[in-house]
Amino acid sequence: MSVYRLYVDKGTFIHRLHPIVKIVWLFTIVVLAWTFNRWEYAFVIFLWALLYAILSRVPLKKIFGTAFLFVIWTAILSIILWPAFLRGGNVVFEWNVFRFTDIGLSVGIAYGFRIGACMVAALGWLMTTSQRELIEGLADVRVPYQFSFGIMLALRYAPLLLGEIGRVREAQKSRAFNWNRGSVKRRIQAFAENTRVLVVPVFNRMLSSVNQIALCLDSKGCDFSKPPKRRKLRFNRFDKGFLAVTFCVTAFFLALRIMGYGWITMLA
Amino acid sequence: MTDVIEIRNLRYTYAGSEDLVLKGIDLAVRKGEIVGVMGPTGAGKTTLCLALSGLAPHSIGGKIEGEVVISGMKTTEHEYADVARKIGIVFQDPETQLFGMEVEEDVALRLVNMELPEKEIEERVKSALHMVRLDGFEKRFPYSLSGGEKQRVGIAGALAANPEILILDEPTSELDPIGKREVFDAIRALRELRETTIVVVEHNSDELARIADRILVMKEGKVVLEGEARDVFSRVGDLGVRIPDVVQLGNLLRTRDEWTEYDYPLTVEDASHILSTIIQKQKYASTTSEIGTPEIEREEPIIEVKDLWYVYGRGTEEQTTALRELNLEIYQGDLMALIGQNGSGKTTLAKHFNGLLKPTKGSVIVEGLDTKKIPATRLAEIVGYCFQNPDHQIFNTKVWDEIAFGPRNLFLTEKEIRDRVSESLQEVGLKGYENRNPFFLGKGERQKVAVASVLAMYPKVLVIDEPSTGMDWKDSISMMELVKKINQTGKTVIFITHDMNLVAKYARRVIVMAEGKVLLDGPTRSVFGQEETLRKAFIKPPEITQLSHMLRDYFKSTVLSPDEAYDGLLHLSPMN
Repeated sequence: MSVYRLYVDKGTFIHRLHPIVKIVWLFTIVVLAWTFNRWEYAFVIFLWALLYAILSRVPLKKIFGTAFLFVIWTAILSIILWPAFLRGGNVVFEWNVFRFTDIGLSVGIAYGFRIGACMVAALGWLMTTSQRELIEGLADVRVPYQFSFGIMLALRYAPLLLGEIGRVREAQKSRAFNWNRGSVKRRIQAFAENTRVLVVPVFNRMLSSVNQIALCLDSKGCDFSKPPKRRKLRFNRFDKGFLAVTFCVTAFFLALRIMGYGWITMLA
Repeated sequence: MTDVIEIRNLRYTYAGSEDLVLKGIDLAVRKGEIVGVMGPTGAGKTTLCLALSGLAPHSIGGKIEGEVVISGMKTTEHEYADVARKIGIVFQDPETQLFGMEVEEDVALRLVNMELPEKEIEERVKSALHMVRLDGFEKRFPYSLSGGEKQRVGIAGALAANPEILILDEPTSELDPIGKREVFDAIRALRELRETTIVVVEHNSDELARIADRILVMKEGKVVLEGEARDVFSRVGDLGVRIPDVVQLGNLLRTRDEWTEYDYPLTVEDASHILSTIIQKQKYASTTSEIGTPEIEREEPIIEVKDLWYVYGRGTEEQTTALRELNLEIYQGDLMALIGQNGSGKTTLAKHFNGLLKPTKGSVIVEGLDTKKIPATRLAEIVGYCFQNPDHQIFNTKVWDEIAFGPRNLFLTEKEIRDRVSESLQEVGLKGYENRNPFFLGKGERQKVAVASVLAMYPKVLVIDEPSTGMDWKDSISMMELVKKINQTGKTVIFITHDMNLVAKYARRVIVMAEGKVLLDGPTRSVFGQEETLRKAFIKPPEITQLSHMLRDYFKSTVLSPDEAYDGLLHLSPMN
C-alpha cells in the first residue's frame, strides 16, 4: 500500500492561515535563504523554516526523510566544488587534487542549509495547504488557473505513478526478477533490460490512464479556460499576526545583511 | 411520461479508426427509468455511455452520426458544459476518477465547478458519502483506500451533483457483494427520491434483475435484445450474459407442468414465494435429500501461517493493521477461494505466500521455508502470483518472450525454457499465439498470458488475484475453467474474488476474511451455509443458496447451483 501524500490535516492555526499568507511566508524564506552565505546565518534561517513545520505539527520525519539527503549532498558537493571556482581563504586540508579552504567549508555548509531551508519550507507549505487552498492561494497571487490546476494534477499523479511502479515491481518480482542481482558491473550492463521491465508496463498503464483522467476531468465539469468561483476567504487576526511576525523577522535579517553581516565575499 | 434520452440511429467511429463501434442504436428512456446495459466485452457498451454523456464526440472526438437528445438538448449542438450539467457519469476504473487529496475534496470537485454555495457543498458531500456507506471517510486520503472504497468515492462524486441522468459504467466490478447491493440500493433510492434517470452497464445480472425496469443486451455495436428483465433473461440464450440463478432454476422447472402457470421469478423473494406456493399446493411432505460434502484429502500443509500480523506504514500517520493474529494451513491440491469485504486483508495475506510482504509479527512457512528469510525472487519458484491486472507485468512485444521471462530469471537452459513456454501455452489454450503482441490481445487473453508466464516457472502453488474482474461472463468462465484444469494437475490454487457465483461453482474450500482475521474456513457448502456469519464479512452467498436457506423446510442442505436446487426439488414427491 505505497502511497504518497503531502497534505497532513492537523487542524492547527498554521493550517487555517489564509493561503496567501502561507505563500508570502514561503517567499520570504526563499529570499532569506539566499541572503546569507555564512553557515551560521543560513542555519538560523533553516531553523526559522523548521519552526513553521514544528508549529503545524506535521510529521518532521516525513520532511527530513525528503530534505535530509538533499541537504547533506548539497553541502558535500559545495564543499568539494567551491575551491575549484574560488580563490581565497585558508587551506584547512588537502586531499589529492582537492584543496579544502575555510571559506569553501563555510559556504558549502551554508549551501546545504540554504537548500534545506527552501525544501523544509516548501514541504511544510504543501503539508499544511490543501489542494483547494493551493489553487485558491495561487489564484490570489495572480498565477493563471491553468498553471495552478496543472500543479494540482501533477500532485494527483504522484500517488498514481508511485502506486503503479510499486505494483509493476511486485509483479516482476513474482516472476523471480531481481533488479539487484549480480555485481555492480553486471547491473550496469543489464540497465537497459531492467529499465524496460519496469518502464514499459508503467508507461502503458499511465498512457491508458491519461485518456481516462481527461474524460473524468471533463465529466466533473472542469473548465480550464475559466476558473470556478472561489470562496471568499477573509484575513483574520491570526493571519494578520502571522504576517506581522513574518515581515518583522524578514526585515530584521535583511537589515543585518545590509549592515554587512552574514556574507563572505569570494573572489572568482 | 416524457423521454429524457432519445437516441436515433446512433453510429459512432473513434478518432483515427474506420471501424464503426456503434452501428445504428435507437433508444428512448423515460424520466425516472433504470435501464441496464449488458453484453460481452467489445459490444460497445462503454462507447454508448460516452455518447450518451456527450463525452463522445465533445471530449474524445471521433465521428458521430444520428442523434443523441438529452432532455430535449441535442448533444452535438450544445457546449459540453451545458450537457454535463444534466449528466453524471461514473467509470469503471476508480483510480483515474480521483483528484482530491481528501475524500470530501474529491466528492466536492464537481460541486465547486458548479459554483454552489459552501454550505450546500458540505451538505451534499455528506449526504453522498452516506449513500455509499463512507461516513467518516471525509478526511481520508483517497489513494490509500481499497479498490471498492475508491469506487464508492467516485460514485459519491456523481451522486452529489444530483444529475438528471446518471450513467454508470460497471460501477461495482471491484466491490464486495454487500457493497454491490448497497450501491444498487442507493441507485434505486436515487430514482425514487429524485426521479433520476439511470443507465447502468453491468455484468451482474442478479442486481440488474432486481432494480432495472428494462435491460438492453448489446453485441457488436448493436442492441440485439431489449425488454423487461424477465423477458430478456428468458430469451438471452447464448449472448454471453449470465442468467440469474433463480431464472435458471425457473427455466429448468418450466419444463414441468406445475410451473408453467407461474411467471419467471427474478429475485430470490419471487422464487421463494412461487416455490412455496407450488410446494404447499402440491402438498409435498418430504424434504430434499442431503447433499454430501466430499472430504478433502489432506497431507502435510504446503503453506503454514502462524500468528501472522501485518502492519502497513509502521510508525507513520497512516499506520494500518491489515492482518491480526492469523493462523492458517494450506494443503497441496487445495482449490481455495479467499473472500471478504474490500480491505479485509485478502491480498495482503496472499502476498505473504510468495514473500512479497514479510510478516510484521509471526511467520509464514512455505514448503518448510520461512518467508522472512527467503527473498521473494526465490519463493517465486514455489508460489506463483498472478496480479489482478495483467498489464502490470506485460512488457514484451511477443507472447513467447513474455512467458519465457520467468524461466529466464531462473537461469534455465534454452531448451528447458522452450519446453516450459510451449507447455504453458498449451495449458492456457494459447498455442499458436507465440508471435502475437500481447498488448493487442483482449483482457481475457492477456490474463491467460499472465497465468502462462507464472505457470512456466512450475510453481506448486498458484495465487490468482481477482481472475474475473473486468471480464464478461464468458471470459470469466473460461478463466475459471483454466484455474480448475491447473488444479487438476495437482497444483494448489488460491483465487481471490468478489464473485460468489464463481466461488460456488469452482472452489472446494473457502476462507472468509474480515478485519484482518479468518472468520470462516471450510468446504464451500459449509461456509455458504452460515449466512449470518457471512454478513459480518459483507458477503452474500449466491442467490440460489439464499433461496435454499429461505426454503430450509424443504431443502435439507445448502444448495450451490440451480441444477442442485432442481435435482432437490425433483426428489420431492409427488413431483418425482
